[in-house]
Amino acid sequence: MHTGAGPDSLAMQAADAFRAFRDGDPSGMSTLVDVVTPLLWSVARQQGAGRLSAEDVVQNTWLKLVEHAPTIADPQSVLKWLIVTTKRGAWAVGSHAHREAPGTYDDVREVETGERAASPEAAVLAAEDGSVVWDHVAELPERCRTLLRTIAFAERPDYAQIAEALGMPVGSIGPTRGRCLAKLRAALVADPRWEMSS
Amino acid sequence: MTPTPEHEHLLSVAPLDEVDDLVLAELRDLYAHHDPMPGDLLDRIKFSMSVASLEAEVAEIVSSASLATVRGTEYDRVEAVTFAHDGLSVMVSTEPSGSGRADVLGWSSEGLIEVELRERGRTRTTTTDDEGRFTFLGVERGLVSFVLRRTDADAPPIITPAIEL
Repeated sequence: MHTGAGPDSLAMQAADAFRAFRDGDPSGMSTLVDVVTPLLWSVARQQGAGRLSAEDVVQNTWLKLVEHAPTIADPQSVLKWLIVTTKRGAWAVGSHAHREAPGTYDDVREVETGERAASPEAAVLAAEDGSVVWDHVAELPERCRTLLRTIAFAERPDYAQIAEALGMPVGSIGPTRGRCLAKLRAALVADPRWEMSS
Repeated sequence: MTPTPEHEHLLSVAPLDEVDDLVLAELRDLYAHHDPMPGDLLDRIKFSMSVASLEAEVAEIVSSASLATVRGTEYDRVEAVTFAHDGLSVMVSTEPSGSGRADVLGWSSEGLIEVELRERGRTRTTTTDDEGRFTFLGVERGLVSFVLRRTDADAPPIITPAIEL
């Protein structure tokens, strides 16, 4: 199956739950929150939001959904709507932080580096208990890490839609492997430790 | 062996396979372990969504008491919590009723209040008697909250923070 969502896709689960909610079943919204929030947390964190900011961003996304639920015409698009809203929210938090922090110098890049939260990957590498996969993920470009972390919390039929919602070019992933996963896969294949562990 | 650009390109145009699923599953575990979502985030999200969608006002917890007397591995638990908002106060106490369930006994400072109990995935509603009493029997243990509505239709509903039964 090359297009559309299979029965297990996250987009489909989200659409079903959202439709149930719209039809008057309040547990639909609860299910939707359970199913999608881990992915939204990943999106917020990978956009550079600190843990506390990421909580606010994700919570605000859901509050916006309460407000906008009636305007979402196609339940199938609710997953994408949530991802895009979270991504924008995380960016708004980031740019707001830049404005609030009075930079000592005019070098914007320096301020940005300081204000962006340390990447989750860096934290793990510092803890020195990563795996072979982790070692190679840390070497990937940031956009690839964001894509791979986010799709890791979804199902195969969702990958293309998620890539699009994240603003990655068409073909970044799904139905083919795409460059990010290919890079990781090539690095793993070349690493003798990977053969042993897989 | 160093990965070549051609090798990478060939991999990138090939369809996803089980090894990719494996790698992504490991990635998911790694992120979930090293940068986990806060454990209570889901509950807090649901609570704030309820408040927003009901256009409700939030009651405060003004007092809570938890007494646990331990007898070996068994323990009896009696808990009471009082919520208040806008001149209305509601006290709720729980008693174990076996098999992971509890009876909820409540008293509200006003009579004829509609009380909605929100459990995970379901709700039930009752109305207080003239003296403000209400009960919910056999409530599954876990997080619950209450939505209180005065019969005066203009008054906004009042929602209590979630409590653990």
